[in-house]
Amino acid sequence: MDMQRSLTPVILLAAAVGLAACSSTSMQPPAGTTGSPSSAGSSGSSGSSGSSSPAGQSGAGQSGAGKSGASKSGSSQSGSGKAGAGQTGAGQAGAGPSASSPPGTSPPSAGGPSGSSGSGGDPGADPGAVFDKSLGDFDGEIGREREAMAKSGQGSGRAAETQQGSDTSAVKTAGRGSSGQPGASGSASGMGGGIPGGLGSIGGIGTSGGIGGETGTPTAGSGQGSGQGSGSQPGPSAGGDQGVGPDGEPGTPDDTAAGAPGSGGPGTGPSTGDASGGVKGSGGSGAAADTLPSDIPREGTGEDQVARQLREAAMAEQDPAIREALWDEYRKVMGMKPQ
Amino acid sequence: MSHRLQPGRLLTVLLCAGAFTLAGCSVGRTIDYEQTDLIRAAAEVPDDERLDVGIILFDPGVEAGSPPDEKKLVFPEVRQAEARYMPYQLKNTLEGSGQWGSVWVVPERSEAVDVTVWGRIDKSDGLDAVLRVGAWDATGREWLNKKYATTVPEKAYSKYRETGQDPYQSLYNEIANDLLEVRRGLSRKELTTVRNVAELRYGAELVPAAFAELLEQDKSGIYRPRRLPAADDPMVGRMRAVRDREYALLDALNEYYANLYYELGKPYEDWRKMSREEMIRYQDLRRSAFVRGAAGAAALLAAILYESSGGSNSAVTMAGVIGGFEGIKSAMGKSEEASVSLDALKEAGAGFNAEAEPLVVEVEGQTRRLTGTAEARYKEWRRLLREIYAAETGVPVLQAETQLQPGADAEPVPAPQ
Repeated sequence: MDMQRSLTPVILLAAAVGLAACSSTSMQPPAGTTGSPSSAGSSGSSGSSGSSSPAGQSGAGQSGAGKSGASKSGSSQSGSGKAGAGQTGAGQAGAGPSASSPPGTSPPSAGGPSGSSGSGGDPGADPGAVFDKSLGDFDGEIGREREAMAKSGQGSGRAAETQQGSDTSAVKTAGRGSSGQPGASGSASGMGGGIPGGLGSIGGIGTSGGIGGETGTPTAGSGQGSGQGSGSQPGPSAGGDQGVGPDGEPGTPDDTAAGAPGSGGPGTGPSTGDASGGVKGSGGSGAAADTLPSDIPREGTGEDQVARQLREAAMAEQDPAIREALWDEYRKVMGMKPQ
Repeated sequence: MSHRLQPGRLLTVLLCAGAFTLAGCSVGRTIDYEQTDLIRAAAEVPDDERLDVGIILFDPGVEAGSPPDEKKLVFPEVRQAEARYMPYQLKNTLEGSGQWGSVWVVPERSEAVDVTVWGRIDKSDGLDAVLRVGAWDATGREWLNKKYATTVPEKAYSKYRETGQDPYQSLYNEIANDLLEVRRGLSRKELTTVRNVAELRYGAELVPAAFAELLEQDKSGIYRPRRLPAADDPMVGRMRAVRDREYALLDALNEYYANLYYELGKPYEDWRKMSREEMIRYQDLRRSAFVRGAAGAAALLAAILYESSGGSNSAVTMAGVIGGFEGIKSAMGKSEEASVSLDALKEAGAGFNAEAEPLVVEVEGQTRRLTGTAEARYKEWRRLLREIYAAETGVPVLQAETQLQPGADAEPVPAPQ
């Protein structure tokens, strides 16, 4: 009996050490992951940083031990907001389910320790969740990078300025009726690189729902990521180019809110944008809805490149006279009735 | 009748030739320019034909930090700046053509693009530009590998030229048109294959266990998809998520390159314009000096020959000697002028060299910082994705990777030749 009594603490100690060892090997906090496990709950909303789904998933809730089967952590679990804190709470599911983890998923089984730490949502426990969180963090970093650049007036924002300048001079030159200057010709078609969102690659991350917010709202489960858009292009006015959601759905109207030339953001709204939409997408979102004449379709369907560039130039133009001239040109190109 | 040329006649011929040559060298030479127009898309190019292009920073053709080669008028920092400027202008050109998907300047080869373009600057002095350009698609097929040269006309520096047109635009247009020609030669199926292979290669680099076996390489090193992954494969979704981040990174990097491009634009053009004028002047002076020197030497030689063959008219001999000396003296004068012109070229080059250096250093620093951060992330993602793969399939990663077909290993990229 004595023997048994003396063995019990040893066994318990061994078990504890074993568990601790187990947790320490599987817990690999992602680089840049900050905050305590408890903060992970709220940082679930930081997932909103991501444009997209993966980020939202970084909400630790999903990573709760047993549930963390990889299929759960698949990127199909979009809706960043959904991964909000509410779900994280579920993380406390913690320990128990670890037994039901799929075979070979040692990291999820480490959900066990999360029980002890009270953070079933610790992203370190589940590679899927850590992966998603890491993607979100990266989005945030890149977004900040571009935002800083846009604020300092660097980068391709200059192209937009150059383009706008040349458009303006071209229109003015045309207005004076002086022809024959090469500068006037072709400036509308210009070089794609200089056109905001012109041919795709410069579209910018700041596009609707692109690389979205940095910090989520702590209100659990609200599913809304709010934050600064990071595009560096002056966005065409609302509706110019709608954001595309993960499933190809148009972005929500909020996605296309406000954007000052050169800054692209801030955009607020559900982070339903697809990162690829941001990266490769066309154009950003912006303000200046009032610059769209009534006869110009919002959608821009059937536009060729020249028309699209004219539309974008017109939307970015501040001078009403020049803007009207650009719209006239647009109508001409589109075969519309002149106003 | 003797066929032997009489000394007097010989001298006359030589003197006449000398006079003609001297007259000729005072007239400017004619430079032929060829202008290539860019083929732009007349209509929207279908999505599946719009390949994404990555243009690797060009090889400057000189070692970074090496001393300027004043003989060849090559300034290393200028070349370093050009190695970043030129790809960006090519990117603008490709985008302007409307024939391509996204086009990025990339610091090194990226698996995320469908077509990779790379170039080496062989010559660039504002008057002549020579580039060696190669292009390969994701399957490893070579699209281009040739030398492009252009001689820049004065009008290329006109302030009234079309916006965004570089003085070397003809050269960029030619490259873009050649790329387009190759792309047009590919069927839609082949283009789809290129895109698929690009995606699979990216995946194979990220999670070899999941994607490498989907690819195979034939004897000539060309990649082909063995089969495609299931559309709803979650690993494909994750791979695409990572690839999208790479696109985002490239976008950010291209902002830095854009910055360099715009900051460099004006001084670079000023330098090229000045260099072009000075280079023409220098070349003309050199040529003129050579011709005058040669004519003077010929006149002297003729006078000697005339005298040695028993010429009786000393006035002719004197004329030859005096003419010869005048020619040589004039050649020396021209050489002097050429040397002043050369100094001007060196000074301009050194000035721009100093101006370009901090810009290049800055963008290089920004690029390294950003790529360094991203590299750390990619490593982490690779590790995590391997863990996820192992968790999903139950196959330990190492085992899965060793089971791969030999040909499907992540083999290196066809390095630009």
